[in-house]
Amino acid sequence: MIRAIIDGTRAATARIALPQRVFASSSTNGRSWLTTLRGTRFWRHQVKKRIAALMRLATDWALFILVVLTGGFSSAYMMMDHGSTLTTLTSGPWSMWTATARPDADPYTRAHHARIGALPLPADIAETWIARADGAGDALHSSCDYEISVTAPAASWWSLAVFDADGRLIQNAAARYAFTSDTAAISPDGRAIALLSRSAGGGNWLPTSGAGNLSVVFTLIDMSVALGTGAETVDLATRVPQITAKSCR
Amino acid sequence: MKTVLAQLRRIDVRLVIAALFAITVLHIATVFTAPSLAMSSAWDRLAPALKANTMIVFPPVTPEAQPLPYLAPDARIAMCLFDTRQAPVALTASLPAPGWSLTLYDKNGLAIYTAAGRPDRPTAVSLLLVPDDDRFMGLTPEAQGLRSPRQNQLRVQALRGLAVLRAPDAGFAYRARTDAELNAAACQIQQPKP
Repeated sequence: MIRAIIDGTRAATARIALPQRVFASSSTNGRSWLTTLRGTRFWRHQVKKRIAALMRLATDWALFILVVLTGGFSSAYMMMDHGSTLTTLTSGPWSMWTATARPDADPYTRAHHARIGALPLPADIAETWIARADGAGDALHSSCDYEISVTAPAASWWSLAVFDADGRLIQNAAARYAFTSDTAAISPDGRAIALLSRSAGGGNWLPTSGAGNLSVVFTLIDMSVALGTGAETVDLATRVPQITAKSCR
Repeated sequence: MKTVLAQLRRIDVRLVIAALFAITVLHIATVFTAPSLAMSSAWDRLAPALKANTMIVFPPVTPEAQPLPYLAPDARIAMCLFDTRQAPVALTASLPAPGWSLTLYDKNGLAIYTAAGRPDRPTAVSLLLVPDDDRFMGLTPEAQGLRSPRQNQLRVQALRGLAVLRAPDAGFAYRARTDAELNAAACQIQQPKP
């Protein structure tokens, strides 16, 4: 295909005639100096045309290579970083790689975890959900306060941890980084409500300090799945926590 | 409209197909080479800090001591860099409660083996990690007519990787018990019996 394009361009430029008369001596063919001067101008014009054709060819190739590099790398980056319906499950702002750490993981999942350098629990025993936005779709940011409501299955262990955008823990004087089903204060209705805020709060408060963009990780080990006593179908909307923005500064 | 159609007609279809083909090739090559080209995979970060075939209990995860990204202090961790190139490695651990897990990862971060704690009873895990090639490891006790000391030991084929024992943080009151369970986990070379 590319060879055909090159050959086509070469044929098009070859049709441009070279000024043969310029090379002939004026003394032998009897042409005047004016004719020679005009021939020189014509030769220059032809050279310019050839250079312009070559420039067009070079520009076309540069554009072709730019499009290929941009398309190839950006599509790979998008699929490795954000996943797709083939590799991830999504529920509201939450997404989960369905083949995390499994030996039969697809290349996108392998590349995703290799790039971020994490060692997550395998999808066989745990669900690892990550959210970078609230329920309304706005990016999580430390300048806002958020309420996260966890309603996990009864026979389960879960944890809720907050990180900055790169997966680093957020430094804070209270040394609070995560809550688990063992350490969180549970409401009478069975929910655990965590507050993400840079200002001190009561209950399950997770400080966000001045971290900028945030990511929240919800890890769920559902024993009912392991024991075979869980429901056949799982409602993802109720399985993951609800993130609600309360106020922003 | 006519101008747009005229412009569209000028597009070389062969060039478009060639571009799509090249984009696809580059996309596939990027995705497949990304794990090996990753500058800081979990193995690269942890292997230099670990001693081979020794279980090491990590201190609680803090912002100053966070070995891996997205590793939360919701669990205490013990790790062993196992290497079966010289000899088999015996690995024992106990998973007393839900949330506990033992996972063997290969160098690419894929789980070779995983076990999780159950709510009804503690789970004792005893593994013998053996090389994944056709290496002769000597006669088994059974072949020698002896009673095997490893009756409840599961054989797992793995060459090099990380064994990660996770213990959920159940709160300050339980930390001593959690530490005791983590310290009791063992990862060592299986010495051949005379």
